[in-house]
Amino acid sequence: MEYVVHILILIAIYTTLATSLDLLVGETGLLSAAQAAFFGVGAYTSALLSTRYGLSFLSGVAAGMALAIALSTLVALISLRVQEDYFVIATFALQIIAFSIFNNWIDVTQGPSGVANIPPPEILGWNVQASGDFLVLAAGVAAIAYCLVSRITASPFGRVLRAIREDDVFTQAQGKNTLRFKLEVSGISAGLAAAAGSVYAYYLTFIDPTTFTITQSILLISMVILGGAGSRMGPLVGAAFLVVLPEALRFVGISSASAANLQAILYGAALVGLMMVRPRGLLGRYSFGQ
Amino acid sequence: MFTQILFNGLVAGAIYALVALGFSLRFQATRTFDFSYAAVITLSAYAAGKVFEYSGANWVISALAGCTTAGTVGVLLDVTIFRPMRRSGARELAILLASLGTMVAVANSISLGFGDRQQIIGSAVTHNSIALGSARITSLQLATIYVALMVGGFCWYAYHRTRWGLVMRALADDEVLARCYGISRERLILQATILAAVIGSSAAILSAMDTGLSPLIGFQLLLPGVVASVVGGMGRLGGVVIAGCAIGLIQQAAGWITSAGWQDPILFAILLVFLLVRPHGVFGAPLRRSAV
Repeated sequence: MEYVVHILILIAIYTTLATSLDLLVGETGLLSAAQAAFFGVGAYTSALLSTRYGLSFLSGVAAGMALAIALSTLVALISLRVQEDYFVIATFALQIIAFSIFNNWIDVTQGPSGVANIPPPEILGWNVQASGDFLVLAAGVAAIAYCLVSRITASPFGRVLRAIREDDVFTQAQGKNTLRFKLEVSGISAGLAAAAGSVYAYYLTFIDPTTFTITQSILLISMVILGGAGSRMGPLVGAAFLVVLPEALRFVGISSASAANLQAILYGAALVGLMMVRPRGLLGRYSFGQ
Repeated sequence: MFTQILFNGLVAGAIYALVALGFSLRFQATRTFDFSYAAVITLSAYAAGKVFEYSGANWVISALAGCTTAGTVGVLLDVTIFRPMRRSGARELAILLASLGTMVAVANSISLGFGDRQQIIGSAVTHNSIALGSARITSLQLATIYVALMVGGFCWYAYHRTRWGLVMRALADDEVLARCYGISRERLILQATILAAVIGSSAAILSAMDTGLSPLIGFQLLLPGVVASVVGGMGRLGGVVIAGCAIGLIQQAAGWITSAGWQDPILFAILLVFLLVRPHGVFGAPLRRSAV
């Protein structure tokens, strides 16, 4: 039972991440390879504020989100300057720089040894300690992310995002300030990823830089594309599938190191197969194909 | 100390220049960023390493095996994955994603088959060193410089002085017009893929002899290769080679001034600055709005 709850918590955290990324990838057409960086900013901010300064969960989340939103302006600026493939390469660079900072700025992040002993969070008197409580917290954050993104995509704001995705120059010609929209959407996306990062750090009570690598970013992209970019259920399906997959492989007797490799082989192959046959993913509305 | 850094930087730069040269050649032909290039050169380095083990440390046979593997894998991937995508009119972004998937799948297959551990090949032969002033130079480093000069010279000749090079440049310059003159794009892509694979394979094998084999060797070489390709100006082969050497030097200098951990972020900060300020690189022609 404990094990099932653990898997469900991971699914909730990854659903938040994939949903936040889908706002950029599926709705605005910005294929960012730097989402794991914002995940890491949230996780590290929360972890360090609570272990060093004893700050509460909510202030840690707020600080992490604020920092991630401030840094997300970089993504928006990149998207102004370069598009498509070049945007992917630029965010790729951003992700690698972020990982190096987590890994090498030892005075602040404690480098490869990571941050340990993150105390259980207390939210307005609610002491989150049992895994059942964490499930409620993680699922709550995922639900907030889901509702927020659903509201955004159904609103006129979301329509402008899709217009930018289809034709940036035309949208500008219609009098929309696309820079403002890109700044706002990358801010929301980074903020949600940072919130997921905080929950992740508090849940595992230990984080280290290897969680926030370019591989993690590629995994998140695979979740969005596998489930289907630009659909609300797509990221959830993609996240659930790719979280359950390695666990299922372990269940049939494959060692966990091999299961991690097999997971990566399968999502790599799925990415290739989908791009060749069905670029919109399982449930997607937006296709990278044509 | 200074000469040593200069020399190590040039050797690293020679390897990056080779990788970037292959990566750019493939970009010239297909107009897409191809991350599966990392898979191709990793497989070739493993093939060379395995043959080296079984052939009683015969360098010539292992290098040939590595290059043959690279060419074969490059062609197979292109024919099975990327050609059908080009035929169906897939966007560059879709091809990039598919190549990223290929890279991840192949690297993890290798780590499943051979393990994540660094495997040393032929260290005893290659690390006897000679003194040059205050610097020490291993015979492997000399061989690296030699191979880079030979391959670079060959490429320059093939690209600028042969009919094949003319056709390649014509295709890169204006694809539609080139096809009007009866140039077969797919055939040129195959030829460029083989050449690129062999060039990258030589870099991967030399690097594997120095630092050992690991499933990430291709990816780790591809990263500075991509930086050099963009900084040099995608598709400007001469510029890309110069940028590769410069990046090797900067990386070594950065490692000396700060610490080894900050080498990567400095390289990628350079890439980011270039993409933001001058996305067509030092030597490239400005990108058209539609091409950016």
